[in-house]
Amino acid sequence: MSGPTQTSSEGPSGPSYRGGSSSKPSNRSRFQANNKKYGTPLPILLPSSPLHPAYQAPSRDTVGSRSSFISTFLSVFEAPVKVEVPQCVGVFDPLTRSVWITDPKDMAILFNRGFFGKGTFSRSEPTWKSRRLDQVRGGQSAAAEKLREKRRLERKQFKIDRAEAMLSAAKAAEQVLVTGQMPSEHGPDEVAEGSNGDAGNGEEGNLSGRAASPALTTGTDVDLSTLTPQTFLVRPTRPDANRNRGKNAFKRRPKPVTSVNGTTVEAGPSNAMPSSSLPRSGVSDQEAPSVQPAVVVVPDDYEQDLSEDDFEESIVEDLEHLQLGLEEAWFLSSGIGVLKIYDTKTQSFIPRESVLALLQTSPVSRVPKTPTAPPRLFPDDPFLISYACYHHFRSLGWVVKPGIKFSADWLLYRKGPVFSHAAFSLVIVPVYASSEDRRKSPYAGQDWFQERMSWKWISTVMRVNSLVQKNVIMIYVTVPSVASFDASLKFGDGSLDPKKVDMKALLRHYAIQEVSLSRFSPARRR
Amino acid sequence: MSASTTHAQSSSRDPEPNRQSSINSGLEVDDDEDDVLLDLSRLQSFASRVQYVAAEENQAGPSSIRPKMTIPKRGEKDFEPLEETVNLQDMMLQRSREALFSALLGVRGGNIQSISQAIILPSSPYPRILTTRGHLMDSMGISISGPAVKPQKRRQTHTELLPEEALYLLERGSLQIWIPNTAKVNGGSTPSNVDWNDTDFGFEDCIEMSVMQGFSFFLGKDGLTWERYQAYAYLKRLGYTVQRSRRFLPTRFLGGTSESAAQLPLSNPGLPPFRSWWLSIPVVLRRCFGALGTVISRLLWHRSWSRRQVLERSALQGWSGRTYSSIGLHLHCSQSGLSTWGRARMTRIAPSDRMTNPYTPFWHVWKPDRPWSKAQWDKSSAAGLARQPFDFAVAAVDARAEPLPSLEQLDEIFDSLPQETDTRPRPVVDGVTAVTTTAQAPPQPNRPSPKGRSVPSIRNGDRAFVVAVNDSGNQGWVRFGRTGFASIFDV
Repeated sequence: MSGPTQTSSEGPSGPSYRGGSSSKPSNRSRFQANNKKYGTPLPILLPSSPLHPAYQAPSRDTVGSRSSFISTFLSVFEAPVKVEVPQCVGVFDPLTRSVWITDPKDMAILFNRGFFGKGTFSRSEPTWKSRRLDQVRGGQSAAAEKLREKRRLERKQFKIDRAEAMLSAAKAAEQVLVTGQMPSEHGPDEVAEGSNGDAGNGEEGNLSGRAASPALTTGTDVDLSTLTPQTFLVRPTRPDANRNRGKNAFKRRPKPVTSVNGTTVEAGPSNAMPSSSLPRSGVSDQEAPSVQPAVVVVPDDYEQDLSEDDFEESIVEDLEHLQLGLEEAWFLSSGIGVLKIYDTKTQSFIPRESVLALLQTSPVSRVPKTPTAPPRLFPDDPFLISYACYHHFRSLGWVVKPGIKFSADWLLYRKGPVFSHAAFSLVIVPVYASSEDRRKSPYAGQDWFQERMSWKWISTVMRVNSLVQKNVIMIYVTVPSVASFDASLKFGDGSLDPKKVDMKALLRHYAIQEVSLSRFSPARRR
Repeated sequence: MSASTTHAQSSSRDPEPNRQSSINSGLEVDDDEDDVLLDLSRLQSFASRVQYVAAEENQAGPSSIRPKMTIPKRGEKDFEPLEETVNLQDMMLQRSREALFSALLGVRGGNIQSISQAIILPSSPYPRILTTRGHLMDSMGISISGPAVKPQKRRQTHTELLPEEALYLLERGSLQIWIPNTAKVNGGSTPSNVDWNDTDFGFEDCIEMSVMQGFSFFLGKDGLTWERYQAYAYLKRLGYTVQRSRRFLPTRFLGGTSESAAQLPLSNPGLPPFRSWWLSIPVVLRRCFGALGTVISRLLWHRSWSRRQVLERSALQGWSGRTYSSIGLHLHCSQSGLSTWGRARMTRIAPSDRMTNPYTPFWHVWKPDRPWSKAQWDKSSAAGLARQPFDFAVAAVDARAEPLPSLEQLDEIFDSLPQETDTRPRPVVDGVTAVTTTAQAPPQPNRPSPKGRSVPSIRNGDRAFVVAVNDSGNQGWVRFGRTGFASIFDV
């Protein structure tokens, strides 16, 4: 193990280097470092989380919670665990329909513990300030965004090389065809122009006639019946050629320095882990780069410049904020109770009961009533349907992130984007419990979910997700009928009062059923 | 005949794709591997057996020239064809065309020794087999016993073919179907009226059914749509054993099975679920103790509990736990899990709305390497399926006409499918060991289990069926699996 470990766990979330070392210990320590920083599943701190002041590393005997009667009875006499519930402040922005978190400490809390939200100027984790600082310093930072740029450049270069190689191979083959000889070192420059007789017929018969002077025929005879444009093709290696194949597929390792066919692949800062590696859109771009910085070790030379750093940090004002989606905001405020939402219109904090009224979807088809009319909530509100799914999987322990990158509604991560790629893509299909509700509902006229029930759409989604190796799960959310709610919660006309419904009581009416879709290939499964 | 030839053409490719090319053309790997990897030499030997080119006139005696059929390697797409490579492009095009034409050249014929014969008599709409060659009939055809003829005590049995089987064999060239000229044959049910005529290579006064006629005759019979037939033919060509599921078997074939056609469902959804209340006594006791303990704990440690005041009015109100899993359990409130399946059938579907479910599995498919016997299959009765459980249940739909299955349709289908047995140890639920692996495990209680299930088991689900989605002849195969995410925090 090399290098000191970082002492302050809640420091700024900027990337830093790790001293080079052998891969094996650094893998594990990297994982442990990530676990420490990102391993807490929720913003609430329990003693089992490494960030809790009273944290003890788990020993062998304290595994899980014993579930016998005696232990539950005896646990009464133990003090309840010291729970730390942070209170973060966010501002609701009606234009973007999101909640903004601007305080850096809150940003760190919400992102690091549970991966809520997204930095506005960053790929996922709000690293804009640290990147900007590095840029100001003349930067060698290897933030996720920089590596992404580098990777894109490499890939672009590879594609240029490949196109060139294919072209030269085709020209070489053409030359062989036309002149009946092996391609010389001058390559395609000697392609005869305006040659003809072979235009329609590439058989040996014709060529033997023009077999040229014996001096030109060199080396082995090319078998013209097997000549293809790829015969002389020497392919450049992809910059990330070995990542997904072979024995160690999907393992994150430092990229080896290779040079194949003139394409030199440089190893970046070695032995590092992605600080945030969300899978991206695009066709073949599905694995995070194998080289990304860990947020652990501060190299020694930085400590000398500490005073200068402090000075410089104030130069760059953090223009970035963390943006929470509506579902995440409701979960954090009314589900867990760690978020307080501030409304700029009323210049006050919104009480927890009124949060839903703010976050619900307003139906487009209806003419907006007077501002003083109470907001009405319908059970098939797309926000509620989406939230029911979000809440379900969050309560089961999955990290749920928006899935628009892969034409899905939500993505499920087992521990978080930092640790692995999403295993599942969720597609939500609402099902009405009562068909009368469906007809009367203000949302029914719009195509919120209808087109998704076509095979064309779902095979598109499956195709996109099969390229990035995610499983598509269809979530059938059963929307309860309005009649199934208690009358005290409703207005006269059959809609619900968002101020009176309690989150858990509301969600109990929804049923969630999952069906996994996968591609079945009879030819391979024999 | 032409349909299968073009199919063979389109699905044949170089058996050993260039490894390098498959790595670098990563996009195409999936599609390539899906196609049948036909061995080129097998294709050549097949060609030499069935292709006959008419002998040249100046050659004495009947002789056949078998043109060498070359299937060119599937190359890469040329994205930038240029003026400088014109000859090369022309040559590649020429080669492809020649390959296509040479494969189609000649007359396809068959060996009389390998062709079976069947006849369609007026007594039955299904072709009756007269002679069988080869092993094809081992998994096809259903035997029907005719009425006992007076002088003999034993009943005469003959084999009749289902429409898809007849069509498949006809298309393949292994079967000749004869249609008697109805004026001459007097509606008899015995084949003795029809005589084989050697000079004509056919039965007397009978016309051979052509493939085109076969398509128009058999498609549409007994629920055989074009999509279903295409799925059937594709699977048969790959070697699978494909049979109809029980409710689609024509009633003519169902007589004489070991049980009646109507099967009682194992669990009538109309009845209230059977609850074994005594199993939940430990859980109830534990909860009582827990509640009692909470009350005492709050009295004793009032100050520490007041720290959780900030969680009031949120969903975590009243949470008294120590771990993140307890938070998850406290938050979990939607109805989910296996017990939600089945409710659709009970409450939502009105009998008047009940239409034919296009996703009901039509075919039962067994893998090629499994030994399969018709007798054991017993026309898809429950006993037969217990002896030889099928590997896949396949339905075929038209992509443009049908939307994705709705929840009610899925419910109905999953109910009829067997549980895919899972021999892994079941998770522990609330301190009480759940009932273990049987084919019909009772639905799990509606709470998540402390130890998560592994991702592959979530991926596959416990019951599954396959849908062949047909869009103007292009088939895609999709597997629907019923999953349940029952894992919670592992922290």
